Amino acid sequence: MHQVKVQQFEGPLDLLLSLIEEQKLDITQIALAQVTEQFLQYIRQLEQLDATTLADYLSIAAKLLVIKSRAILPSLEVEMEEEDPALDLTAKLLLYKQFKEAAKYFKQLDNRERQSFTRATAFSERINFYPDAAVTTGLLRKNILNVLQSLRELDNLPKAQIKEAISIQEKIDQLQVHLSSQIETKLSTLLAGAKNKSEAIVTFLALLELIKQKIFMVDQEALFADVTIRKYEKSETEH
Amino acid sequence: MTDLQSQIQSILFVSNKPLTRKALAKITGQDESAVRQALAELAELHKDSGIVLLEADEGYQLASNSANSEIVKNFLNADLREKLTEATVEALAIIAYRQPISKAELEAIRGVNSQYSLRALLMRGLVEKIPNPDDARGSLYRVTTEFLQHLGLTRVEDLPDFTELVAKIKLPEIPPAETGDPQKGSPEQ
Repeated sequence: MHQVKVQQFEGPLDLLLSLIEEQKLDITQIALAQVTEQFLQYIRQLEQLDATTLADYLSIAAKLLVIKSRAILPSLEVEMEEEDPALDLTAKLLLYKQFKEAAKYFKQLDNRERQSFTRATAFSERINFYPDAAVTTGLLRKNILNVLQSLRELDNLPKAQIKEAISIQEKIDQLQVHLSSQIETKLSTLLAGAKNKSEAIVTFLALLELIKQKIFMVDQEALFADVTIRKYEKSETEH
Repeated sequence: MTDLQSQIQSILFVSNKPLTRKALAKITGQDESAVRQALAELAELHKDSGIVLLEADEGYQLASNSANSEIVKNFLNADLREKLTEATVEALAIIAYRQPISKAELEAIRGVNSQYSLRALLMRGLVEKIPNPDDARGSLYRVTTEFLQHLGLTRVEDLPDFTELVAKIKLPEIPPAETGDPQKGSPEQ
Protein backbone atom coordinates (compact mmCIF):
# COMPACT_ATOMS: atom_id res chain seq x y z
CA MET A 1 0.00 0.00 0.00
CA HIS A 2 1.40 3.35 -0.87
CA GLN A 3 1.92 6.01 1.69
CA VAL A 4 -0.22 9.04 1.11
CA LYS A 5 1.84 12.19 1.31
CA VAL A 6 0.45 15.41 2.58
CA GLN A 7 -0.14 18.08 -0.03
CA GLN A 8 -0.23 15.66 -2.87
CA PHE A 9 -3.93 16.03 -3.49
CA GLU A 10 -5.49 18.15 -6.14
CA GLY A 11 -8.32 19.11 -3.84
CA PRO A 12 -10.92 17.79 -1.44
CA LEU A 13 -12.51 15.41 -3.95
CA ASP A 14 -9.13 13.94 -4.77
CA LEU A 15 -8.46 13.48 -1.07
CA LEU A 16 -11.83 11.91 -0.38
CA LEU A 17 -11.50 9.58 -3.34
CA SER A 18 -8.12 8.45 -2.14
CA LEU A 19 -9.36 7.85 1.42
CA ILE A 20 -12.25 5.75 0.21
CA GLU A 21 -10.26 3.73 -2.28
CA GLU A 22 -7.42 3.16 0.12
CA GLN A 23 -9.85 1.54 2.53
CA LYS A 24 -11.53 -0.32 -0.28
CA LEU A 25 -14.79 0.97 1.06
CA ASP A 26 -18.00 1.00 -0.83
CA ILE A 27 -19.35 4.43 -1.29
CA THR A 28 -22.23 4.16 1.03
CA GLN A 29 -23.38 6.60 3.58
CA ILE A 30 -21.57 4.50 6.16
CA ALA A 31 -18.31 4.56 4.24
CA LEU A 32 -18.47 8.27 3.78
CA ALA A 33 -19.20 8.64 7.46
CA GLN A 34 -16.16 6.50 8.30
CA VAL A 35 -13.70 8.60 6.38
CA THR A 36 -15.06 11.84 7.78
CA GLU A 37 -12.66 11.80 10.72
CA GLN A 38 -9.64 11.17 8.48
CA PHE A 39 -10.78 13.89 6.17
CA LEU A 40 -11.05 16.37 9.03
CA GLN A 41 -7.67 15.31 10.34
CA TYR A 42 -6.12 15.98 7.00
CA ILE A 43 -7.57 19.47 6.92
CA ARG A 44 -6.06 20.13 10.34
CA GLN A 45 -2.66 19.19 8.96
CA LEU A 46 -2.94 21.76 6.26
CA GLU A 47 -1.92 24.81 8.17
CA GLN A 48 -0.72 26.97 5.36
CA LEU A 49 -3.96 26.68 3.40
CA ASP A 50 -5.23 29.92 2.03
CA ALA A 51 -8.80 30.84 2.77
CA THR A 52 -10.18 29.88 -0.64
CA THR A 53 -8.66 26.41 -0.63
CA LEU A 54 -9.77 25.88 2.94
CA ALA A 55 -13.31 26.83 1.94
CA ASP A 56 -13.26 24.13 -0.74
CA TYR A 57 -12.25 21.52 1.82
CA LEU A 58 -14.75 22.75 4.39
CA SER A 59 -17.60 22.58 1.91
CA ILE A 60 -16.94 18.88 1.38
CA ALA A 61 -16.33 18.38 5.09
CA ALA A 62 -19.74 19.88 5.85
CA LYS A 63 -21.39 17.40 3.49
CA LEU A 64 -19.52 14.54 5.15
CA LEU A 65 -20.64 15.68 8.57
CA VAL A 66 -24.29 15.71 7.53
CA ILE A 67 -23.90 12.20 6.13
CA LYS A 68 -22.16 11.04 9.27
CA SER A 69 -24.78 12.57 11.53
CA ARG A 70 -27.43 10.71 9.63
CA ALA A 71 -25.54 7.46 9.83
CA ILE A 72 -25.29 7.81 13.60
CA LEU A 73 -28.80 9.12 14.10
CA PRO A 74 -30.98 7.55 11.44
CA SER A 75 -33.94 9.40 12.84
CA LEU A 76 -32.25 12.72 12.21
CA GLU A 77 -34.22 14.75 9.76
CA VAL A 78 -32.02 17.35 8.23
CA GLU A 79 -33.78 19.93 6.23
CA MET A 80 -32.33 19.73 2.78
CA GLU A 81 -32.45 22.69 0.51
CA GLU A 82 -30.42 20.80 -2.00
CA GLU A 83 -30.27 17.20 -3.01
CA ASP A 84 -29.24 14.39 -0.72
CA PRO A 85 -25.61 15.16 0.22
CA ALA A 86 -24.60 11.51 -0.09
CA LEU A 87 -26.02 11.17 -3.58
CA ASP A 88 -24.63 14.52 -4.51
CA LEU A 89 -21.20 13.63 -3.22
CA THR A 90 -21.21 10.24 -4.91
CA ALA A 91 -22.04 11.84 -8.25
CA LYS A 92 -19.34 14.43 -7.75
CA LEU A 93 -16.76 11.79 -6.86
CA LEU A 94 -17.61 9.68 -9.88
CA LEU A 95 -17.39 12.60 -12.27
CA TYR A 96 -14.15 13.70 -10.70
CA LYS A 97 -12.70 10.22 -11.00
CA GLN A 98 -13.68 10.07 -14.64
CA PHE A 99 -11.88 13.30 -15.35
CA LYS A 100 -8.91 12.07 -13.41
CA GLU A 101 -8.79 9.20 -15.87
CA ALA A 102 -9.15 11.59 -18.79
CA ALA A 103 -6.31 13.62 -17.32
CA LYS A 104 -4.19 10.48 -17.23
CA TYR A 105 -4.83 10.03 -20.91
CA PHE A 106 -3.86 13.63 -21.57
CA LYS A 107 -0.68 13.06 -19.62
CA GLN A 108 0.12 10.14 -21.91
CA LEU A 109 -0.36 12.36 -24.93
CA ASP A 110 1.82 14.95 -23.26
CA ASN A 111 4.51 12.39 -22.51
CA ARG A 112 4.81 11.05 -26.03
CA GLU A 113 6.21 14.46 -26.95
CA ARG A 114 4.66 14.65 -30.33
CA GLN A 115 4.10 18.29 -30.89
CA SER A 116 3.45 20.29 -33.97
CA PHE A 117 4.54 23.78 -34.83
CA THR A 118 3.02 26.57 -36.79
CA ARG A 119 4.79 29.18 -38.83
CA ALA A 120 4.76 31.71 -36.09
CA THR A 121 6.36 29.35 -33.65
CA ALA A 122 4.90 29.79 -30.26
CA PHE A 123 8.21 29.92 -28.43
CA SER A 124 9.01 33.02 -26.55
CA GLU A 125 12.69 32.26 -27.23
CA ARG A 126 12.10 32.92 -30.86
CA ILE A 127 10.53 36.30 -30.42
CA ASN A 128 13.18 38.75 -31.48
CA PHE A 129 13.31 42.43 -30.73
CA TYR A 130 13.49 44.76 -33.67
CA PRO A 131 13.67 48.43 -32.78
CA ASP A 132 11.47 50.83 -34.63
CA ALA A 133 13.05 52.27 -37.77
CA ALA A 134 13.01 55.75 -36.27
CA VAL A 135 15.14 54.70 -33.33
CA THR A 136 18.63 56.18 -33.18
CA THR A 137 21.41 55.65 -30.66
CA GLY A 138 20.84 59.17 -29.39
CA LEU A 139 17.17 58.46 -28.79
CA LEU A 140 17.93 55.22 -26.99
CA ARG A 141 20.48 57.00 -24.85
CA LYS A 142 18.05 59.75 -23.95
CA ASN A 143 15.38 57.24 -23.00
CA ILE A 144 17.59 55.06 -20.91
CA LEU A 145 18.76 58.15 -19.04
CA ASN A 146 15.13 59.01 -18.40
CA VAL A 147 14.53 55.55 -17.02
CA LEU A 148 17.60 55.81 -14.81
CA GLN A 149 16.49 59.20 -13.61
CA SER A 150 13.07 57.93 -12.65
CA LEU A 151 14.68 55.00 -10.88
CA ARG A 152 16.77 57.44 -8.91
CA GLU A 153 13.64 59.37 -7.99
CA LEU A 154 12.05 56.15 -6.89
CA ASP A 155 15.08 55.56 -4.75
CA ASN A 156 14.74 58.98 -3.18
CA LEU A 157 11.20 58.49 -2.02
CA PRO A 158 10.82 59.41 1.64
CA LYS A 159 11.64 56.43 3.72
CA ALA A 160 9.71 55.43 6.75
CA GLN A 161 11.75 54.00 9.52
CA ILE A 162 10.48 51.04 11.40
CA LYS A 163 10.04 52.22 14.92
CA GLU A 164 11.56 50.26 17.67
CA ALA A 165 8.76 48.35 19.26
CA ILE A 166 8.74 47.17 22.77
CA SER A 167 6.75 44.17 23.83
CA ILE A 168 4.64 43.95 26.93
CA GLN A 169 6.83 41.15 28.22
CA GLU A 170 9.96 43.31 27.88
CA LYS A 171 8.21 46.12 29.66
CA ILE A 172 7.10 43.81 32.45
CA ASP A 173 10.70 42.74 32.96
CA GLN A 174 11.85 46.36 32.92
CA LEU A 175 9.27 47.41 35.47
CA GLN A 176 10.21 44.57 37.77
CA VAL A 177 13.87 45.49 37.60
CA HIS A 178 12.91 49.09 38.20
CA LEU A 179 10.91 48.27 41.31
CA SER A 180 13.47 45.87 42.69
CA SER A 181 15.71 48.81 43.50
CA GLN A 182 13.02 51.10 44.82
CA ILE A 183 10.31 50.82 47.31
CA GLU A 184 7.76 52.58 45.21
CA THR A 185 7.42 54.56 42.09
CA LYS A 186 4.86 56.76 40.42
CA LEU A 187 2.98 56.11 37.25
CA SER A 188 3.87 59.60 36.07
CA THR A 189 7.57 58.75 36.44
CA LEU A 190 7.16 55.63 34.38
CA LEU A 191 5.23 57.42 31.69
CA ALA A 192 7.69 60.28 31.60
CA GLY A 193 10.33 57.76 30.63
CA ALA A 194 8.32 56.53 27.67
CA LYS A 195 9.76 57.54 24.32
CA ASN A 196 6.45 57.65 22.52
CA LYS A 197 2.76 57.03 22.83
CA SER A 198 2.93 53.34 22.06
CA GLU A 199 5.55 52.81 24.74
CA ALA A 200 3.32 54.64 27.20
CA ILE A 201 0.47 52.32 26.28
CA VAL A 202 2.67 49.26 26.62
CA THR A 203 3.85 50.51 30.01
CA PHE A 204 0.28 50.81 31.16
CA LEU A 205 -0.65 47.36 29.83
CA ALA A 206 2.40 45.85 31.49
CA LEU A 207 1.40 47.48 34.72
CA LEU A 208 -2.12 46.05 34.50
CA GLU A 209 -0.66 42.61 33.87
CA LEU A 210 1.65 42.89 36.86
CA ILE A 211 -1.27 43.93 39.06
CA LYS A 212 -3.33 41.03 37.81
CA GLN A 213 -0.54 38.62 38.57
CA LYS A 214 -0.29 40.14 42.02
CA ILE A 215 3.29 41.20 41.58
CA PHE A 216 2.58 44.90 41.88
CA MET A 217 -0.09 46.79 43.65
CA VAL A 218 -1.22 50.33 43.06
CA ASP A 219 -2.74 53.04 45.07
CA GLN A 220 -4.38 56.26 44.11
CA GLU A 221 -5.26 58.80 46.76
CA ALA A 222 -7.79 60.78 44.86
CA LEU A 223 -9.42 60.92 41.51
CA PHE A 224 -6.85 61.87 38.85
CA ALA A 225 -4.08 61.87 41.43
CA ASP A 226 -0.84 60.18 40.58
CA VAL A 227 -0.74 56.43 40.98
CA THR A 228 1.71 54.96 43.40
CA ILE A 229 3.13 51.59 42.48
CA ARG A 230 4.56 49.15 44.98
CA LYS A 231 5.48 45.54 45.11
CA TYR A 232 2.58 43.39 46.16
CA GLU A 233 2.48 42.61 49.82
CA LYS A 234 0.30 39.88 51.19
CA SER A 235 -0.21 41.57 54.54
CA GLU A 236 -2.12 44.36 52.92
CA THR A 237 -5.61 43.04 52.93
CA GLU A 238 -7.57 45.21 50.71
CA HIS A 239 -7.18 47.18 47.67
CA MET B 1 -8.08 20.46 -55.66
CA THR B 2 -10.83 23.00 -56.16
CA ASP B 3 -10.09 26.69 -56.55
CA LEU B 4 -11.53 27.39 -53.15
CA GLN B 5 -9.41 24.71 -51.51
CA SER B 6 -6.35 26.07 -53.25
CA GLN B 7 -7.11 29.63 -52.17
CA ILE B 8 -7.75 28.64 -48.59
CA GLN B 9 -4.56 26.62 -48.54
CA SER B 10 -2.54 29.60 -49.76
CA ILE B 11 -4.05 31.93 -47.20
CA LEU B 12 -3.53 29.51 -44.34
CA PHE B 13 0.04 28.99 -45.53
CA VAL B 14 0.95 32.65 -45.21
CA SER B 15 -1.08 33.31 -42.10
CA ASN B 16 0.71 33.21 -38.79
CA LYS B 17 -2.42 32.90 -36.71
CA PRO B 18 -5.56 30.78 -36.74
CA LEU B 19 -8.26 31.99 -39.12
CA THR B 20 -11.93 31.41 -38.53
CA ARG B 21 -14.31 30.04 -41.13
CA LYS B 22 -15.97 33.41 -41.09
CA ALA B 23 -12.73 35.22 -41.89
CA LEU B 24 -11.91 32.74 -44.65
CA ALA B 25 -15.38 33.12 -46.12
CA LYS B 26 -14.95 36.86 -46.17
CA ILE B 27 -11.52 36.73 -47.82
CA THR B 28 -12.54 34.22 -50.45
CA GLY B 29 -15.98 35.72 -51.00
CA GLN B 30 -17.62 32.34 -50.52
CA ASP B 31 -20.25 31.36 -48.05
CA GLU B 32 -19.31 29.65 -44.84
CA SER B 33 -20.74 26.27 -45.67
CA ALA B 34 -18.61 26.07 -48.83
CA VAL B 35 -15.59 27.07 -46.78
CA ARG B 36 -16.42 24.47 -44.17
CA GLN B 37 -16.61 21.81 -46.87
CA ALA B 38 -13.32 22.91 -48.44
CA LEU B 39 -11.61 22.93 -45.05
CA ALA B 40 -12.78 19.42 -44.27
CA GLU B 41 -11.38 18.20 -47.57
CA LEU B 42 -8.13 20.07 -47.03
CA ALA B 43 -7.77 18.49 -43.62
CA GLU B 44 -8.24 15.09 -45.16
CA LEU B 45 -5.72 15.83 -47.93
CA HIS B 46 -3.09 17.00 -45.46
CA LYS B 47 -3.65 14.30 -42.92
CA ASP B 48 -0.54 12.24 -43.69
CA SER B 49 1.68 14.94 -45.12
CA GLY B 50 4.32 17.00 -43.35
CA ILE B 51 1.81 19.76 -42.90
CA VAL B 52 -1.49 19.20 -41.15
CA LEU B 53 -4.52 21.39 -40.78
CA LEU B 54 -5.34 22.23 -37.19
CA GLU B 55 -8.96 22.79 -36.42
CA ALA B 56 -10.01 24.49 -33.21
CA ASP B 57 -12.95 26.65 -32.33
CA GLU B 58 -10.75 29.69 -32.51
CA GLY B 59 -9.88 28.90 -36.12
CA TYR B 60 -7.85 26.92 -38.61
CA GLN B 61 -4.11 26.88 -38.94
CA LEU B 62 -1.49 24.92 -40.82
CA ALA B 63 1.12 23.26 -38.68
CA SER B 64 3.93 20.75 -38.93
CA ASN B 65 2.90 17.15 -38.51
CA SER B 66 3.41 16.15 -34.89
CA ALA B 67 5.04 12.93 -36.09
CA ASN B 68 8.02 15.09 -37.04
CA SER B 69 8.16 16.75 -33.65
CA GLU B 70 11.78 15.88 -32.97
CA ILE B 71 13.41 17.04 -36.18
CA VAL B 72 11.31 20.15 -36.40
CA LYS B 73 12.22 21.25 -32.92
CA ASN B 74 15.87 20.55 -33.68
CA PHE B 75 15.64 22.60 -36.81
CA LEU B 76 14.02 25.44 -34.90
CA ASN B 77 16.69 25.02 -32.27
CA ALA B 78 13.95 25.16 -29.71
CA ASP B 79 12.79 23.05 -26.82
CA LEU B 80 9.57 21.19 -26.85
CA ARG B 81 6.82 22.83 -24.90
CA GLU B 82 7.10 22.22 -21.22
CA LYS B 83 5.13 19.32 -19.84
CA LEU B 84 1.88 19.88 -18.04
CA THR B 85 1.59 19.69 -14.27
CA GLU B 86 -0.94 17.47 -12.51
CA ALA B 87 -3.27 20.32 -11.69
CA THR B 88 -3.17 21.88 -15.14
CA VAL B 89 -3.61 18.58 -16.96
CA GLU B 90 -6.71 17.89 -14.90
CA ALA B 91 -8.20 21.28 -15.66
CA LEU B 92 -7.22 20.95 -19.30
CA ALA B 93 -8.95 17.58 -19.68
CA ILE B 94 -12.13 19.02 -18.21
CA ILE B 95 -12.04 22.04 -20.49
CA ALA B 96 -11.31 19.95 -23.59
CA TYR B 97 -14.23 17.61 -22.98
CA ARG B 98 -16.67 20.18 -21.68
CA GLN B 99 -15.82 23.22 -23.73
CA PRO B 100 -16.88 25.94 -23.74
CA ILE B 101 -16.99 25.80 -19.97
CA SER B 102 -17.20 28.43 -17.25
CA LYS B 103 -14.77 28.68 -14.36
CA ALA B 104 -17.60 27.82 -11.98
CA GLU B 105 -18.43 24.59 -13.81
CA LEU B 106 -14.76 23.66 -13.94
CA GLU B 107 -14.42 24.26 -10.23
CA ALA B 108 -17.59 22.32 -9.47
CA ILE B 109 -16.11 19.27 -11.17
CA ARG B 110 -12.68 19.58 -9.58
CA GLY B 111 -14.12 20.60 -6.21
CA VAL B 112 -11.35 23.10 -5.83
CA ASN B 113 -10.56 26.66 -6.74
CA SER B 114 -8.93 26.59 -10.15
CA GLN B 115 -7.73 30.14 -10.49
CA TYR B 116 -4.08 29.18 -10.74
CA SER B 117 -4.48 26.28 -13.13
CA LEU B 118 -6.63 28.42 -15.39
CA ARG B 119 -4.16 31.24 -15.33
CA ALA B 120 -1.31 28.85 -16.13
CA LEU B 121 -3.25 27.41 -19.06
CA LEU B 122 -4.15 30.85 -20.35
CA MET B 123 -0.58 32.04 -20.09
CA ARG B 124 0.64 29.08 -22.05
CA GLY B 125 -2.05 29.72 -24.62
CA LEU B 126 -3.50 26.24 -24.23
CA VAL B 127 -6.93 27.63 -23.50
CA GLU B 128 -8.57 30.92 -24.28
CA LYS B 129 -11.27 32.98 -22.70
CA ILE B 130 -14.35 33.90 -24.71
CA PRO B 131 -17.41 35.91 -23.73
CA ASN B 132 -20.31 33.89 -22.43
CA PRO B 133 -23.22 34.39 -24.85
CA ASP B 134 -25.70 33.72 -22.04
CA ASP B 135 -24.11 35.99 -19.49
CA ALA B 136 -22.46 39.22 -20.53
CA ARG B 137 -20.48 39.37 -17.31
CA GLY B 138 -19.15 35.85 -17.46
CA SER B 139 -16.50 34.14 -19.54
CA LEU B 140 -16.14 30.68 -20.96
CA TYR B 141 -12.98 28.76 -21.68
CA ARG B 142 -12.05 26.57 -24.59
CA VAL B 143 -8.93 24.92 -25.99
CA THR B 144 -6.83 26.51 -28.70
CA THR B 145 -4.73 25.46 -31.70
CA GLU B 146 -1.78 25.72 -29.32
CA PHE B 147 -3.45 22.97 -27.29
CA LEU B 148 -3.71 20.81 -30.40
CA GLN B 149 -0.06 21.44 -31.22
CA HIS B 150 1.04 20.63 -27.70
CA LEU B 151 -0.69 17.27 -27.60
CA GLY B 152 -0.07 16.48 -31.25
CA LEU B 153 -3.72 16.45 -32.30
CA THR B 154 -5.30 18.09 -35.31
CA ARG B 155 -8.70 18.62 -33.78
CA VAL B 156 -10.44 18.05 -30.47
CA GLU B 157 -12.52 15.32 -32.08
CA ASP B 158 -9.31 13.26 -32.36
CA LEU B 159 -9.61 12.69 -28.64
CA PRO B 160 -11.33 9.45 -27.69
CA ASP B 161 -14.99 9.70 -26.87
CA PHE B 162 -15.29 10.66 -23.23
CA THR B 163 -17.87 8.00 -22.39
CA GLU B 164 -15.68 5.31 -23.90
CA LEU B 165 -12.53 6.63 -22.32
CA VAL B 166 -14.00 6.49 -18.84
CA ALA B 167 -16.30 3.52 -19.32
CA LYS B 168 -14.28 1.41 -16.90
CA ILE B 169 -14.17 4.08 -14.26
CA LYS B 170 -16.43 3.25 -11.38
CA LEU B 171 -16.55 4.10 -7.77
CA PRO B 172 -16.28 1.22 -5.34
CA GLU B 173 -19.92 1.48 -4.88
CA ILE B 174 -23.42 0.76 -3.83
CA PRO B 175 -25.87 3.49 -4.58
CA PRO B 176 -26.42 5.19 -1.24
CA ALA B 177 -30.12 4.47 -1.19
CA GLU B 178 -31.82 4.38 2.22
CA THR B 179 -31.58 0.60 2.27
CA GLY B 180 -28.62 -0.22 0.08
CA ASP B 181 -28.17 -3.89 -0.77
CA PRO B 182 -24.86 -4.79 0.85
CA GLN B 183 -24.34 -7.83 -1.43
CA LYS B 184 -24.17 -5.75 -4.52
CA GLY B 185 -20.85 -4.07 -3.83
CA SER B 186 -18.09 -5.20 -6.12
CA PRO B 187 -14.43 -4.33 -5.73
CA GLU B 188 -13.17 -1.67 -8.08
CA GLN B 189 -12.22 -2.79 -11.57
